[in-house]
Amino acid sequence: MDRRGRRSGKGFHEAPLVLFTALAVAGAGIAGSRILLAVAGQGGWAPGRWEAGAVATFLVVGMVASTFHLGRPLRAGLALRGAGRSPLTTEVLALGAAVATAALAALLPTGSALGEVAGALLPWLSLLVLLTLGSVYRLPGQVGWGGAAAFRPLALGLVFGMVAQGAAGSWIAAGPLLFVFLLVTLADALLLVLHGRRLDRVRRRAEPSHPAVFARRRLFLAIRLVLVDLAGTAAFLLGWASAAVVLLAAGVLLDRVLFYALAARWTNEGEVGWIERLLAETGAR
Amino acid sequence: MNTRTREGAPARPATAGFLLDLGRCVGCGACVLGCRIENRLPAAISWRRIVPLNLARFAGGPTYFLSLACHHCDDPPCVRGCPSGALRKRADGVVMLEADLCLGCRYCEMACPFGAPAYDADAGVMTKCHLCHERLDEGRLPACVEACPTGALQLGGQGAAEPPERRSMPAWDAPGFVDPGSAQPALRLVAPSGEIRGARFVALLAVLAEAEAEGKEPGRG
Repeated sequence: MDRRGRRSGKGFHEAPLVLFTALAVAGAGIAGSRILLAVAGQGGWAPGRWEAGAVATFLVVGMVASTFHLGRPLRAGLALRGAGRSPLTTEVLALGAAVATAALAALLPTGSALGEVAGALLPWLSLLVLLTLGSVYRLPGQVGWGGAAAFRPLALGLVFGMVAQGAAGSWIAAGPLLFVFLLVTLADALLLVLHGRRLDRVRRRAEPSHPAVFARRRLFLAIRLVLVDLAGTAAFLLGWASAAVVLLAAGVLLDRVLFYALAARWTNEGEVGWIERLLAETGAR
Repeated sequence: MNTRTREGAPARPATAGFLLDLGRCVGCGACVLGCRIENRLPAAISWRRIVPLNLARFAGGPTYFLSLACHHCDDPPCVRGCPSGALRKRADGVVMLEADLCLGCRYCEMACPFGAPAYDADAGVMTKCHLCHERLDEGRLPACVEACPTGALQLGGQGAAEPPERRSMPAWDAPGFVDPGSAQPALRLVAPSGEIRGARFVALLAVLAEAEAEGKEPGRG
């Protein structure tokens, strides 16, 4: 415990959530980016069987990983009781629906009506997964996660998904789709910068969950920006697709680590600290 | 002293909560200890804590202690977010946690800006102040209130009868208190009284208002 009698929060108990959200962002990003490809006329809406299988695997492994964060993993099913009320339940429902459709699209034989419906639904459900991932952490007290930060899983997932689709030969970096890709990458970079600026603004009164990481946030966020939006994108545009996927995967993982490590709350302790610094400066004048 | 326990059952407010007299709280920690003993809390967990303001006695600022636990908010973010429905707000205002339904996802811990829910790593579930509801049902005061030697901590949520000399204000009006989620905590505070302490409290309010208006940024943070 710290001097105020609260748990000191040592360690990084969010590790299973990092793994879960990284896999969910990557998996849902692969299927969700199909929408952009289809709109631009490069391929159909429905992902192929290998693709649906990969998405299902990513999401299932992610969901299993997330249960390791629970104090009582065997009670995980109770999370459905909050339907219509808790954002966490909405996220679980969206994930469950995406996993089910991905599994159907991957396992049912080609030409099966149910398999085709599942395939057509999967990109949209994946998009929903990316949106709900962000909405879960729109908590009033968690100032580090508010604002633009809630949309970062969506942008990051689409960037990763488009690069992965490109590496698999689903599209070529040219024409209108290249413009869309650059736009999505720019949006991801912009959201990251906005998140960083938000953290700068709130630091005076917020209490970071991991102060050591928070103090070096600009360096870490810059590394994340380079990995995904500069080096990863450049590697992809230069035709080094495999290298781009590796850089993007590292970027997604770092992004998720930073998301949790840079959590900061407005607390009474943070407010008192701000007032005391203010008093010290006022008194010193 | 809390005489209400001697004279009979406490008048139970319409919406239960605490009332803290900043002029009377000396930060002794008896409330923390009373809570720990009553609820048999493990060593790593405390449902109540004391946050001292201006312990370094900076010039112009009042020194007081915020004894804080769950504020049993009118619109509790913990209840809003709980995926399993383990957290609920009773009709009398008490925010309850049903441990048998808790997954230990710690979402309430992240949602609460007041640090009220505490994770019990051994049990794998969250725990929190329940306002000693069983004691209340028996007509007794919460353990922390009963343990307070100066009468600073009282049972006094919305609708509670207050002596005229103890005009309280919502907690979020006091320096050092935050309500970022508009959760409307039921905690009410009585500002420090007396010529010096009261004047310093008012002066601090003015300094903070000025800092807010200027968006003042202290040198470190």
